Amino acid sequence: MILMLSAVVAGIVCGRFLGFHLPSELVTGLLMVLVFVVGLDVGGEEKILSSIKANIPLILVQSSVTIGGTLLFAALGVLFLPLSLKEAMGVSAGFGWYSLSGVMISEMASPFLGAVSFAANIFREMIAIVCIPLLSRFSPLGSISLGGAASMDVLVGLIARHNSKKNTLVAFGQGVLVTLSVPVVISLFFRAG
Amino acid sequence: MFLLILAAFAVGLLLGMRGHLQKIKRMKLVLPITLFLLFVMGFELGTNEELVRQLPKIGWMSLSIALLASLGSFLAAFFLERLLRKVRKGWFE
Repeated sequence: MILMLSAVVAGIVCGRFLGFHLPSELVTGLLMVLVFVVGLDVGGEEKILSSIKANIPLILVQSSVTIGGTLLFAALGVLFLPLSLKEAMGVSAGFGWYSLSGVMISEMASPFLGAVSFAANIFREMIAIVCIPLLSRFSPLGSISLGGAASMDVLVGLIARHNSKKNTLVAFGQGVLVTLSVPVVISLFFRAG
Repeated sequence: MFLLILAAFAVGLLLGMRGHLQKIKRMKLVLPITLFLLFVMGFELGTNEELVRQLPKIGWMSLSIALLASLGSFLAAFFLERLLRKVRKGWFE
């Protein structure tokens, strides 16, 4: 996370001093390569995919409530933030995958919204890191859903330390499904521009 | 643009499931590409003075969204859990 934040800060500093624009085709191309490789990674994990299949009903419901709960409550943001309903829900739709949501939304909507989404999803990951150890005893599934898309990579170690094996598997499955949903949900919100 | 990205994702997933292109997997491209994309995102932010002025606003807006989003998904999963416990005791050991 620190590495990723440094990349953004370095970019801001260089952009400030150099001041020329980079072609957006470059970003689209690199995004394609990125999601292609992530797809390849997820698809190639045969063992994990088959153990997810065994628990698929719970994982499907858990992923749906994670996505639904996030979007529903983010929608409340319209009440006190200068955002439209589409924007408030859209920026939350990184579900913790801040790098993809930030870059995608700054390309599809505006750099301002992209920055909001990037920061919102970093904050979400920090909230998850603090709250998962505190809440996992009280509500395992609730704590796992905080992790969103990151519960298959960045947060899986933390989740495993505080949860049963079965719930760790549910967390991983949720991470996979929510990760898959990120480009789809963001496209749904922002494709009309 | 979104169609291109979704297509790239779908093709990657399918090829991965069939065990193709293991060489590309071993190249560990995700981190360098991600870092470069974030650099580019920051770069675009930096060239836009208006946006640099708005950074404090971006901070509180994003924190509000993050708190709402986390609360929403926690509550949704919490109620799911209670429902499942009622329906089937001993689902979680």
